[in-house]
Amino acid sequence: MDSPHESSVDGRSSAAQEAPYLSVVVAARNDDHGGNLLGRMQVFVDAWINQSKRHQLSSELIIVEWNPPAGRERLAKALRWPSDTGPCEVRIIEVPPEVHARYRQTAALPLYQMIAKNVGIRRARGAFILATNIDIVFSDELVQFLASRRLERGRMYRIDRYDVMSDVPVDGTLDEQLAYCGSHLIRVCAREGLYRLTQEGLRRNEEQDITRVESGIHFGRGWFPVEQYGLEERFRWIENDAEVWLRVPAAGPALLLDLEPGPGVGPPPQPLQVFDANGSMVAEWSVSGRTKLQLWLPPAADNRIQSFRLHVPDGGRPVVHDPRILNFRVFRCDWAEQMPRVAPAPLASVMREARPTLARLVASLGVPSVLFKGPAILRAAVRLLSERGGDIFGPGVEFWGKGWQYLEHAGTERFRWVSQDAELVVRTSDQRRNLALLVEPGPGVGYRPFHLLITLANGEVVAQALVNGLTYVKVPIPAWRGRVTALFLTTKEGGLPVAGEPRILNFRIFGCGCAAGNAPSMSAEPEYVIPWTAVTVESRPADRDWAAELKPYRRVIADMGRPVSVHTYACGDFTMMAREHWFDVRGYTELDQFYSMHLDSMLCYAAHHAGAREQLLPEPMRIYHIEHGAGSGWTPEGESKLFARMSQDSIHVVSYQDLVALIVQMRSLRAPVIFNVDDWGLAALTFPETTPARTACGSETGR
Amino acid sequence: MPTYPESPAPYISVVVAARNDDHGGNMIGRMQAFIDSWISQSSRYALSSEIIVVEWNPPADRARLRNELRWPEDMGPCEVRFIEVSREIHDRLPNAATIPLHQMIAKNAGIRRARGQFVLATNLDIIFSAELMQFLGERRLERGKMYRMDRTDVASNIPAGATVDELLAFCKSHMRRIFAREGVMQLSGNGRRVLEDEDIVEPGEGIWFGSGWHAIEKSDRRPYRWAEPEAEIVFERPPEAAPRLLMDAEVGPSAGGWPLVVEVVSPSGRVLTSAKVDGTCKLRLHIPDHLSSGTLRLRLQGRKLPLARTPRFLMLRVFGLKWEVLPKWLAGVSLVRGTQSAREATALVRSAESRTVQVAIRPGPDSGLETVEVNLTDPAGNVVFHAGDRLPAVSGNQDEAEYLLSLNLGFKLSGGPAGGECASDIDWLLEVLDTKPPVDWTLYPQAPAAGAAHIAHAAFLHISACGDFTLLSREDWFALRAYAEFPIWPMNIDLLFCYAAHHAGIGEVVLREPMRVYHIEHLSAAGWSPEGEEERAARIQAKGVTEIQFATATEWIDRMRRFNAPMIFTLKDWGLAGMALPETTVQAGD
Repeated sequence: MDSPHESSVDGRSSAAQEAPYLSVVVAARNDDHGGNLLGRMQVFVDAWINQSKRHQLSSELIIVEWNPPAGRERLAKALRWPSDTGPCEVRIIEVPPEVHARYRQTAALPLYQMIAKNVGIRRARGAFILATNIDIVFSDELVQFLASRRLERGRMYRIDRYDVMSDVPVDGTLDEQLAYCGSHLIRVCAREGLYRLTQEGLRRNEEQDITRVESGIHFGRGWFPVEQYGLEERFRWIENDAEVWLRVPAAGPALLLDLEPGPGVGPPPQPLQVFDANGSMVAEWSVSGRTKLQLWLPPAADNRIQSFRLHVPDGGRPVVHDPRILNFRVFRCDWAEQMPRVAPAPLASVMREARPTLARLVASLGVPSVLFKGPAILRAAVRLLSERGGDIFGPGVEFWGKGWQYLEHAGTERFRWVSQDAELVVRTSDQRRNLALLVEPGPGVGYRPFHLLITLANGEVVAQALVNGLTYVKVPIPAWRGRVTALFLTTKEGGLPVAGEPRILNFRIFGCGCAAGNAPSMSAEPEYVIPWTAVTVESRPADRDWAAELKPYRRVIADMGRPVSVHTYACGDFTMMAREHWFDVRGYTELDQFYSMHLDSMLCYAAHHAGAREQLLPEPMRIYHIEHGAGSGWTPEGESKLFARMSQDSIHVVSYQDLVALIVQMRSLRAPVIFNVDDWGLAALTFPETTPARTACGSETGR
Repeated sequence: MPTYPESPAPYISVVVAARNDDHGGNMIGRMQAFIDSWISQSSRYALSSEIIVVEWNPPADRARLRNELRWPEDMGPCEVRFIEVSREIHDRLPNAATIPLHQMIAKNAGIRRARGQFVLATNLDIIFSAELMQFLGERRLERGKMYRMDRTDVASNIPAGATVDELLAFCKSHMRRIFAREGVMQLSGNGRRVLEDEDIVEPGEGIWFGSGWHAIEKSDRRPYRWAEPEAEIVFERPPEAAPRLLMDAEVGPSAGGWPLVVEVVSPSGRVLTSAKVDGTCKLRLHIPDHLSSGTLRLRLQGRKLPLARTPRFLMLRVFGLKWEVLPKWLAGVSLVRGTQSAREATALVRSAESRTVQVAIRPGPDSGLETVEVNLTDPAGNVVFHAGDRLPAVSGNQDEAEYLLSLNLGFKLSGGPAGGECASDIDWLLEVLDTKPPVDWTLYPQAPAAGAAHIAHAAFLHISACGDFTLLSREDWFALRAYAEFPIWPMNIDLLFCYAAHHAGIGEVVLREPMRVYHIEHLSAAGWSPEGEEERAARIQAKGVTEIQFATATEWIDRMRRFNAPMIFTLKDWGLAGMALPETTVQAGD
């Protein structure tokens, strides 16, 4: 107990009646705020009462009618009320104009929304209290969950809000209304921001996004909206887990990610992991600086949409200028350019270019081989050389990475040296299931025969071949049709240095590509999960040095630890916690002359830091918000007029900078900030209260 | 032995936090002085009270405080309660090893359990002046008010075993410094504030600063002092100085670019003269000739914009203050004032006193003064009075002769308001001699706060040493949930509470002299004293314990001002509410 009057409840607290499980508190006045107010409120009231009945949820609906406009009906009369409200009691608490007149901006702010809600919260009797608004409809799954009485103390419940079109059938049945909501989505107010939705319910990309319009890639939870610093590139930040939704075309290109670490992660290099839809880790990179990554995804059987998740294992450090967690800045997430198909070079030019190579190949075959297998091998070698384009890589090679030396020319020949672990990503096809190589021992192995090993990323050897002189090697690749495999060419022998040459030159390769040939039958899907193929394409120093920028704040940042970013979007529409927590934080901040902006977010952070930890209710639990009707008087321009009037009348708002400073403060001190004293919610006053359900059958006017 | 009615609720609860660790040196001796002076004065002024000592994390190898202290045979109307917060509870809090006493949480535990109508949060080395105890005994405290006062530091060698009167006499005669609203000021033996080494008046000038003057700050190595809206000047005019004070001043950022009216106010509160000032200016204050010493107050009337980086209001700063110096050959000679202002002319006509016009005369090198004639002409041009004569022969060196001609004029008042007060009034004049345009303060560190013009409830509270005396009703302490309970070094927590109270509508009342709280000095590095500040900061840094920096506190004050709402950091369980803390009550003669 705080003080004698802090926890006292005004009015009828001592009623013999059993306390309801949940109190739902809204503030309203019959002033057509937002347009079609009565219509939207009728849907809200009807849906809640019907759902309470359907799921036997013991509740009370508290409507705080603040400063009712003269000359208009009270809400108790203006709305229709069912004769039987079942386990839901409706209480309308009226705050008369005389009380409103005590405040200093009575004309410009006719409804002090937060103080009004506090009036209801202070007088609520439920074990749990939900603060919401008069144009909200709850999904049936949500009400069912509430009725199951599994809410806990020490939690603050939050949820995504779905905005739906305004023509919800006012006279429809509950199921008709819910069906309308479910099928008329406009946008979602998620933790990361506000997103318009596609037909499939995915977050729609922005016009200028980090992926092309035609990519079919969508960004789900964990991605923040597109941002831009000055005229620099556009990007999106990711949190600790960022979902990507996409369709993977068969034999399609790799996914390219262009990103750099942000302030949310520690010093480089930082791991970035990929988890598939089943929750298994399938790939991992180590990122330092501005980095381009590629990821080959397995296509889904029926080309259906699928998802994976980028996971930042060491992310979550906060900053001081933004309440969000900013782990990686992603500049691009799109399909990589596919390797152009190289037309085979004309035979004459191949022969001219590769004559010395072929001559050494013939020499190394030895007399018996030349006679029996020679022609076939020579044909294959010529074909390999003719298909290698301007480098040494031929068909099926999607990527070559670490371990390859630069392209060298000697006479008419071209080749790349390898010392160890030359990275290669190949995509085999039905026709070409083998990897073909033209390999020659180098000074690293003393120009002697050596064993060439072809391994997977985990070190498993999938093939080996003896290279004796310039040798044509062809080995089957254990890959599935359309799949790509990352391979490494290496040898365990060699390592001899060459005078005047810092590199170890174990062997050199003149041609490398997929070739026709038999391979083990791989028609069946593998029983084990194949790691997705992930490579680092290039890396350079990061554009921004966050560690240096944030150095002056490192103490505060250290104090904050790894904080939770509370879901504050549309939190005025759904904040629910045990009654004692509402009393502990003394409800919403009550500021005279202040517009209600950010006050609901401040409450969420205060509650979270007062021991009511945020918990998000997952899909299919939802709240729907009925959009303010077009032509109803509510327009974005109207809102800017409001702001203009506010600055004239010296109505203040809590600025975003204030909000962020408060969040940083609560995080670093691990304590809430409360701005109310113990008379919050106009505790000292007694207000008239009516229960319309038992008294009135509303008139039809005003809708 | 007098008896006192058993009252369930004492009038006032005095809450201190302590542990027997000899914090500050001679801790028991200083605490004994606190206990003795409170208890005996409670009896003297029939003040029903309780002292709550929250003994936090008592050291295992030392006795409990109640056993270390002597208790009087007669406790009078005062009850002493010891509430113990065990080591186990302490160890559960963060930073338990580096901070052995979480002072604010300890005080909160006491405030939470206080039974008085009013609760005073203070410290164990405070002695209360008789006038203060008498005032408390009169039961004139009000709900919805926050009582604060200056703290006066006294020498640490308090007489052991002295009576309360001896103790108070010692305090009165051993004052070292004062913690006033405007800062910490050193006191000289006579209780006057000491000028700083590089001050805005010269030491021999006979000018001292009383309350309302901030300590010396510097701009381009030029010292200046900011003045509070009321700032006191004490003067003793040297015989050779003219009765005119010259002042170099500049209007500060809190005036918001509007002119500021400077009033000169007598000790009785009467406005003697005033002038409107703007920008950087030179002021000349004419003081009546006969007034060779006295006390004046400058009162500043103007806007009071809150500033971004300080909770103070900076309305006027003064770079220099001195007596006007006359040319050497006129030294010691009073000149009649110039007649630049209309007020001056009126004043002369309305004067009922005799006036003297004096003219200093120095004849040229080769001439001598021979005759003196005086003609008084009426408006019509008739000579209505004539006097004149030849001078007698003058002996000595004619070249260096200097004469003083005195005309003594007598006036008779012919109507209008009369009276001695009025007569002396007209001898005061504040002239603005020179004005330079104001600077753009938004470019300076003293820039106004964002949206300052719209902030209506800002105040510069008396927050110096507020941990030693903050007195509110119990309900108000509860409404504010007392002090923040951050488990860190408790710097600035107490002043944030004061601002929270102000912005919860609990107005500050400063109890004035001769009401005083004396604080017995202790060794530096234990609490805050000007000498120990650097040392303490180094110690905190070394232990790696966070504290609320003053800059942070200033940001929070700015927020409270803009929101006009208190910032509260504690929950319903503040003051270890849920815990049963062992409590003992001291019996008389224990």
